[in-house]
Amino acid sequence: MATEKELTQFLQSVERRAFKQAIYAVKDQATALDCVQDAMLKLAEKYGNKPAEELPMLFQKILQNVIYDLFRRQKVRSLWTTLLSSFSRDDEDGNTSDPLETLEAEYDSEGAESALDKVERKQVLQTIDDEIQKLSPRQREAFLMRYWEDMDVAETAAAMGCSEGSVKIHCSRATHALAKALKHKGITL
Amino acid sequence: MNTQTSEEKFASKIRQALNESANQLDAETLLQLERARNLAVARHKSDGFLQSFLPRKASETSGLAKLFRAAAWITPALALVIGLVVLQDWQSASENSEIASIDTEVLTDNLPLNAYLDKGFNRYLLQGE
Repeated sequence: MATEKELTQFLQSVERRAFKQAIYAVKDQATALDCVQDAMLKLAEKYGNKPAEELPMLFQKILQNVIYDLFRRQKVRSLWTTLLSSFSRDDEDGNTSDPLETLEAEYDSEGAESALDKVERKQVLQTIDDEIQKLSPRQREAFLMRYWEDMDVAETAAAMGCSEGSVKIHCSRATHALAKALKHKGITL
Repeated sequence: MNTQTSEEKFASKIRQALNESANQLDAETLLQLERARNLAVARHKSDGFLQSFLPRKASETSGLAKLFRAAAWITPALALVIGLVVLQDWQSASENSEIASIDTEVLTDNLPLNAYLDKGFNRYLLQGE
Protein backbone atom coordinates (compact mmCIF):
# COMPACT_ATOMS: atom_id res chain seq x y z
CA MET A 1 0.00 0.00 0.00
CA ALA A 2 1.29 3.46 -0.92
CA THR A 3 2.03 5.59 2.14
CA GLU A 4 0.93 9.21 2.38
CA LYS A 5 4.48 10.30 1.69
CA GLU A 6 4.70 8.13 -1.42
CA LEU A 7 1.35 9.38 -2.65
CA THR A 8 2.33 13.01 -2.03
CA GLN A 9 5.65 12.55 -3.80
CA PHE A 10 4.01 10.83 -6.71
CA LEU A 11 1.33 13.49 -7.14
CA GLN A 12 3.91 16.23 -6.78
CA SER A 13 6.05 14.67 -9.48
CA VAL A 14 3.22 14.15 -11.92
CA GLU A 15 0.89 17.13 -11.39
CA ARG A 16 2.46 19.55 -13.87
CA ARG A 17 2.66 16.99 -16.64
CA ALA A 18 -0.88 15.82 -15.88
CA PHE A 19 -2.11 19.40 -16.14
CA LYS A 20 -0.40 19.86 -19.49
CA GLN A 21 -1.83 16.58 -20.73
CA ALA A 22 -5.29 17.68 -19.68
CA ILE A 23 -4.78 21.06 -21.35
CA TYR A 24 -3.80 19.35 -24.62
CA ALA A 25 -6.99 17.32 -24.46
CA VAL A 26 -9.58 19.78 -23.14
CA LYS A 27 -8.01 23.06 -24.32
CA ASP A 28 -9.20 24.98 -21.27
CA GLN A 29 -7.18 25.77 -18.16
CA ALA A 30 -9.99 25.62 -15.58
CA THR A 31 -11.41 22.41 -17.02
CA ALA A 32 -7.93 20.89 -17.14
CA LEU A 33 -7.42 21.74 -13.45
CA ASP A 34 -10.76 20.10 -12.64
CA CYS A 35 -9.74 16.99 -14.53
CA VAL A 36 -6.42 16.74 -12.70
CA GLN A 37 -8.11 17.27 -9.32
CA ASP A 38 -10.73 14.60 -10.10
CA ALA A 39 -8.04 12.17 -11.15
CA MET A 40 -6.01 12.87 -7.99
CA LEU A 41 -9.03 12.35 -5.75
CA LYS A 42 -10.06 9.15 -7.48
CA LEU A 43 -6.55 7.80 -7.22
CA ALA A 44 -6.33 8.60 -3.50
CA GLU A 45 -9.81 7.38 -2.63
CA LYS A 46 -10.12 4.27 -4.75
CA TYR A 47 -6.56 3.16 -5.35
CA GLY A 48 -4.75 4.47 -2.27
CA ASN A 49 -4.32 0.87 -1.12
CA LYS A 50 -2.32 -0.06 -4.22
CA PRO A 51 1.47 -0.35 -4.17
CA ALA A 52 3.35 2.86 -5.03
CA GLU A 53 4.84 1.36 -8.19
CA GLU A 54 1.36 0.88 -9.68
CA LEU A 55 0.36 4.53 -9.16
CA PRO A 56 1.76 5.98 -12.44
CA MET A 57 -0.15 3.56 -14.64
CA LEU A 58 -3.33 3.87 -12.57
CA PHE A 59 -3.15 7.65 -12.50
CA GLN A 60 -2.77 7.83 -16.28
CA LYS A 61 -5.70 5.50 -16.75
CA ILE A 62 -7.85 7.54 -14.35
CA LEU A 63 -6.84 10.83 -15.95
CA GLN A 64 -7.71 9.58 -19.44
CA ASN A 65 -11.05 8.25 -18.16
CA VAL A 66 -11.84 11.57 -16.47
CA ILE A 67 -11.10 13.39 -19.73
CA TYR A 68 -13.22 10.97 -21.78
CA ASP A 69 -16.07 11.27 -19.28
CA LEU A 70 -15.90 15.04 -19.68
CA PHE A 71 -16.03 14.72 -23.45
CA ARG A 72 -19.03 12.41 -23.22
CA ARG A 73 -20.87 14.96 -21.06
CA GLN A 74 -19.95 17.82 -23.38
CA LYS A 75 -20.67 15.95 -26.58
CA VAL A 76 -24.34 16.83 -26.92
CA ARG A 77 -24.08 20.19 -25.16
CA SER A 78 -21.27 21.72 -27.13
CA LEU A 79 -20.37 19.62 -30.14
CA TRP A 80 -20.01 22.66 -32.33
CA THR A 81 -17.59 24.33 -29.87
CA THR A 82 -15.36 21.26 -29.86
CA LEU A 83 -15.33 21.16 -33.63
CA LEU A 84 -14.43 24.82 -33.92
CA SER A 85 -11.72 24.60 -31.26
CA SER A 86 -9.94 21.90 -33.25
CA PHE A 87 -9.28 24.55 -35.90
CA SER A 88 -8.18 27.15 -33.38
CA ARG A 89 -4.85 28.91 -33.64
CA ASP A 90 -2.50 30.32 -31.00
CA ASP A 91 -4.54 33.42 -30.22
CA GLU A 92 -7.72 31.42 -29.64
CA ASP A 93 -6.31 29.01 -27.07
CA GLY A 94 -6.78 31.26 -24.08
CA ASN A 95 -3.30 32.69 -24.60
CA THR A 96 -4.07 36.37 -24.73
CA SER A 97 -0.50 37.56 -24.51
CA ASP A 98 0.78 39.37 -27.54
CA PRO A 99 4.26 38.12 -28.56
CA LEU A 100 5.20 41.65 -29.59
CA GLU A 101 4.35 42.98 -26.14
CA THR A 102 6.47 40.31 -24.51
CA LEU A 103 9.28 41.08 -26.89
CA GLU A 104 9.09 44.77 -26.07
CA ALA A 105 9.05 44.19 -22.33
CA GLU A 106 12.03 41.89 -22.44
CA TYR A 107 14.00 44.34 -24.56
CA ASP A 108 13.54 46.88 -21.75
CA SER A 109 14.78 44.63 -18.96
CA GLU A 110 17.52 42.56 -20.48
CA GLY A 111 19.92 42.49 -23.34
CA ALA A 112 18.27 42.41 -26.73
CA GLU A 113 19.92 39.19 -27.83
CA SER A 114 18.96 37.10 -24.80
CA ALA A 115 15.42 38.49 -24.86
CA LEU A 116 15.12 37.50 -28.48
CA ASP A 117 16.41 34.02 -27.68
CA LYS A 118 13.87 33.70 -24.90
CA VAL A 119 11.01 34.77 -27.08
CA GLU A 120 12.10 32.44 -29.84
CA ARG A 121 12.38 29.57 -27.40
CA LYS A 122 8.97 30.38 -25.98
CA GLN A 123 7.52 30.37 -29.47
CA VAL A 124 9.13 27.02 -30.20
CA LEU A 125 7.65 25.57 -27.00
CA GLN A 126 4.27 27.00 -27.89
CA THR A 127 4.48 25.52 -31.37
CA ILE A 128 5.34 22.10 -29.93
CA ASP A 129 2.41 22.42 -27.53
CA ASP A 130 0.12 23.28 -30.44
CA GLU A 131 1.32 20.42 -32.59
CA ILE A 132 0.91 17.95 -29.74
CA GLN A 133 -2.57 19.29 -29.24
CA LYS A 134 -3.33 18.62 -32.90
CA LEU A 135 -2.42 14.94 -32.68
CA SER A 136 -5.31 12.50 -32.51
CA PRO A 137 -6.25 11.74 -28.88
CA ARG A 138 -4.95 8.17 -29.00
CA GLN A 139 -1.67 9.17 -30.64
CA ARG A 140 -1.20 11.94 -28.11
CA GLU A 141 -1.95 9.67 -25.15
CA ALA A 142 0.41 7.00 -26.37
CA PHE A 143 3.19 9.46 -27.16
CA LEU A 144 2.94 11.35 -23.86
CA MET A 145 2.68 8.25 -21.68
CA ARG A 146 5.47 6.49 -23.49
CA TYR A 147 7.94 9.33 -23.87
CA TRP A 148 6.96 11.93 -21.27
CA GLU A 149 5.70 9.77 -18.45
CA ASP A 150 8.44 7.26 -19.23
CA MET A 151 6.06 4.31 -19.12
CA ASP A 152 7.03 1.18 -21.00
CA VAL A 153 4.98 -0.24 -23.85
CA ALA A 154 3.15 -2.76 -21.63
CA GLU A 155 2.20 -0.12 -19.02
CA THR A 156 1.03 2.27 -21.73
CA ALA A 157 -1.05 -0.48 -23.33
CA ALA A 158 -2.61 -1.33 -19.95
CA ALA A 159 -3.41 2.32 -19.25
CA MET A 160 -4.89 2.83 -22.72
CA GLY A 161 -6.74 -0.48 -22.77
CA CYS A 162 -5.23 -1.58 -26.07
CA SER A 163 -2.57 -3.94 -27.38
CA GLU A 164 1.16 -3.25 -27.21
CA GLY A 165 1.23 -3.27 -31.01
CA SER A 166 -1.32 -0.47 -31.11
CA VAL A 167 0.79 1.57 -28.69
CA LYS A 168 3.83 1.20 -30.94
CA ILE A 169 1.82 2.24 -33.99
CA HIS A 170 0.31 5.26 -32.20
CA CYS A 171 3.74 6.35 -30.96
CA SER A 172 5.33 5.97 -34.34
CA ARG A 173 2.59 7.91 -36.10
CA ALA A 174 2.64 10.62 -33.46
CA THR A 175 6.40 11.01 -33.74
CA HIS A 176 6.29 11.22 -37.52
CA ALA A 177 3.39 13.66 -37.48
CA LEU A 178 5.20 15.90 -34.99
CA ALA A 179 8.48 15.75 -36.88
CA LYS A 180 6.74 16.59 -40.14
CA ALA A 181 4.78 19.48 -38.64
CA LEU A 182 7.81 20.99 -36.91
CA LYS A 183 9.95 20.63 -40.02
CA HIS A 184 7.22 22.32 -42.03
CA LYS A 185 7.38 25.27 -39.61
CA GLY A 186 11.16 25.40 -39.85
CA ILE A 187 11.77 24.20 -36.31
CA THR A 188 14.73 21.93 -35.70
CA LEU A 189 15.24 20.44 -32.28
CA MET B 1 16.01 -0.65 -35.35
CA ASN B 2 17.51 2.50 -36.83
CA THR B 3 14.02 4.04 -37.15
CA GLN B 4 13.31 3.21 -33.51
CA THR B 5 16.48 4.96 -32.42
CA SER B 6 15.73 8.10 -34.40
CA GLU B 7 12.17 8.05 -33.02
CA GLU B 8 13.49 7.85 -29.49
CA LYS B 9 16.02 10.61 -30.10
CA PHE B 10 13.34 12.89 -31.47
CA ALA B 11 10.99 11.99 -28.61
CA SER B 12 13.73 12.79 -26.13
CA LYS B 13 14.07 16.31 -27.56
CA ILE B 14 10.32 16.79 -27.47
CA ARG B 15 10.36 15.57 -23.89
CA GLN B 16 12.91 18.25 -22.95
CA ALA B 17 10.75 20.89 -24.55
CA LEU B 18 7.65 19.62 -22.76
CA ASN B 19 9.44 19.61 -19.41
CA GLU B 20 10.59 23.16 -20.04
CA SER B 21 7.05 24.14 -20.90
CA ALA B 22 5.65 22.42 -17.80
CA ASN B 23 8.15 24.27 -15.62
CA GLN B 24 6.83 27.59 -16.87
CA LEU B 25 3.35 27.20 -15.40
CA ASP B 26 2.08 30.30 -13.64
CA ALA B 27 1.97 30.59 -9.85
CA GLU B 28 -1.84 30.49 -9.67
CA THR B 29 -1.98 27.18 -11.53
CA LEU B 30 0.73 25.72 -9.33
CA LEU B 31 -1.17 26.83 -6.24
CA GLN B 32 -4.35 25.17 -7.47
CA LEU B 33 -2.48 21.99 -8.28
CA GLU B 34 -1.01 22.02 -4.77
CA ARG B 35 -4.50 22.43 -3.28
CA ALA B 36 -5.79 19.54 -5.36
CA ARG B 37 -2.87 17.40 -4.25
CA ASN B 38 -3.39 18.24 -0.56
CA LEU B 39 -7.09 17.44 -0.84
CA ALA B 40 -6.33 14.08 -2.43
CA VAL B 41 -3.78 13.21 0.25
CA ALA B 42 -6.29 14.20 2.97
CA ARG B 43 -8.85 11.83 1.42
CA HIS B 44 -6.24 9.11 1.40
CA LYS B 45 -5.63 9.71 5.12
CA SER B 46 -9.30 9.52 6.05
CA ASP B 47 -9.74 6.28 4.16
CA GLY B 48 -6.68 4.67 5.69
CA PHE B 49 -8.52 3.00 8.56
CA LEU B 50 -11.21 1.48 6.35
CA GLN B 51 -8.67 0.39 3.80
CA SER B 52 -6.77 -1.59 6.41
CA PHE B 53 -9.71 -4.02 6.37
CA LEU B 54 -9.71 -4.41 2.61
CA PRO B 55 -7.61 -7.00 0.79
CA ARG B 56 -4.38 -5.48 -0.43
CA LYS B 57 -3.83 -7.92 -3.24
CA ALA B 58 -6.10 -10.16 -5.24
CA SER B 59 -4.32 -13.23 -3.82
CA GLU B 60 -5.44 -12.29 -0.31
CA THR B 61 -9.06 -12.91 -1.22
CA SER B 62 -8.60 -16.67 -1.36
CA GLY B 63 -7.98 -19.51 1.12
CA LEU B 64 -6.95 -18.58 4.63
CA ALA B 65 -7.41 -14.88 3.98
CA LYS B 66 -11.12 -15.46 3.34
CA LEU B 67 -11.39 -17.42 6.60
CA PHE B 68 -9.68 -14.66 8.57
CA ARG B 69 -11.88 -12.02 7.02
CA ALA B 70 -14.99 -14.05 7.88
CA ALA B 71 -13.67 -14.53 11.43
CA ALA B 72 -13.21 -10.78 11.73
CA TRP B 73 -16.97 -10.37 11.38
CA ILE B 74 -18.12 -13.54 13.20
CA THR B 75 -15.99 -13.12 16.35
CA PRO B 76 -17.54 -9.83 17.57
CA ALA B 77 -21.06 -11.15 16.85
CA LEU B 78 -20.35 -14.33 18.79
CA ALA B 79 -18.90 -12.32 21.71
CA LEU B 80 -22.08 -10.22 21.80
CA VAL B 81 -24.33 -13.29 21.97
CA ILE B 82 -22.22 -14.88 24.72
CA GLY B 83 -22.28 -11.59 26.66
CA LEU B 84 -26.08 -11.42 26.50
CA VAL B 85 -26.44 -15.03 27.71
CA VAL B 86 -24.05 -14.42 30.64
CA LEU B 87 -25.93 -11.24 31.59
CA GLN B 88 -29.27 -13.08 31.54
CA ASP B 89 -27.81 -15.86 33.67
CA TRP B 90 -26.35 -13.42 36.18
CA GLN B 91 -29.67 -11.56 36.56
CA SER B 92 -31.55 -14.82 37.12
CA ALA B 93 -29.00 -15.99 39.75
CA SER B 94 -29.24 -12.63 41.54
CA GLU B 95 -33.05 -12.89 41.80
CA ASN B 96 -32.82 -16.46 43.09
CA SER B 97 -30.34 -15.38 45.72
CA GLU B 98 -32.65 -12.62 47.00
CA ILE B 99 -35.59 -15.00 47.28
CA ALA B 100 -33.43 -17.60 49.05
CA SER B 101 -32.27 -15.07 51.66
CA ILE B 102 -35.90 -14.11 52.46
CA ASP B 103 -36.85 -17.79 52.69
CA THR B 104 -33.99 -18.36 55.13
CA GLU B 105 -35.16 -15.49 57.34
CA VAL B 106 -38.73 -16.85 57.32
CA LEU B 107 -37.70 -20.42 58.09
CA THR B 108 -35.47 -19.38 61.00
CA ASP B 109 -38.40 -17.44 62.54
CA ASN B 110 -36.44 -14.21 62.52
CA LEU B 111 -39.20 -12.73 60.48
CA PRO B 112 -42.99 -12.59 60.94
CA LEU B 113 -44.83 -14.40 58.15
CA ASN B 114 -46.75 -11.24 57.20
CA ALA B 115 -43.49 -9.51 56.40
CA TYR B 116 -43.08 -11.89 53.49
CA LEU B 117 -46.29 -10.46 52.00
CA ASP B 118 -45.03 -6.89 52.36
CA LYS B 119 -44.03 -5.69 48.89
CA GLY B 120 -41.44 -3.20 50.14
CA PHE B 121 -39.83 -5.63 52.56
CA ASN B 122 -37.52 -7.20 49.98
CA ARG B 123 -35.99 -3.82 49.39
CA TYR B 124 -35.70 -3.20 53.14
CA LEU B 125 -33.82 -6.47 53.53
CA LEU B 126 -31.44 -5.64 50.77
CA GLN B 127 -30.70 -2.22 52.28
CA GLY B 128 -30.09 -3.87 55.63
CA GLU B 129 -27.45 -6.13 54.11
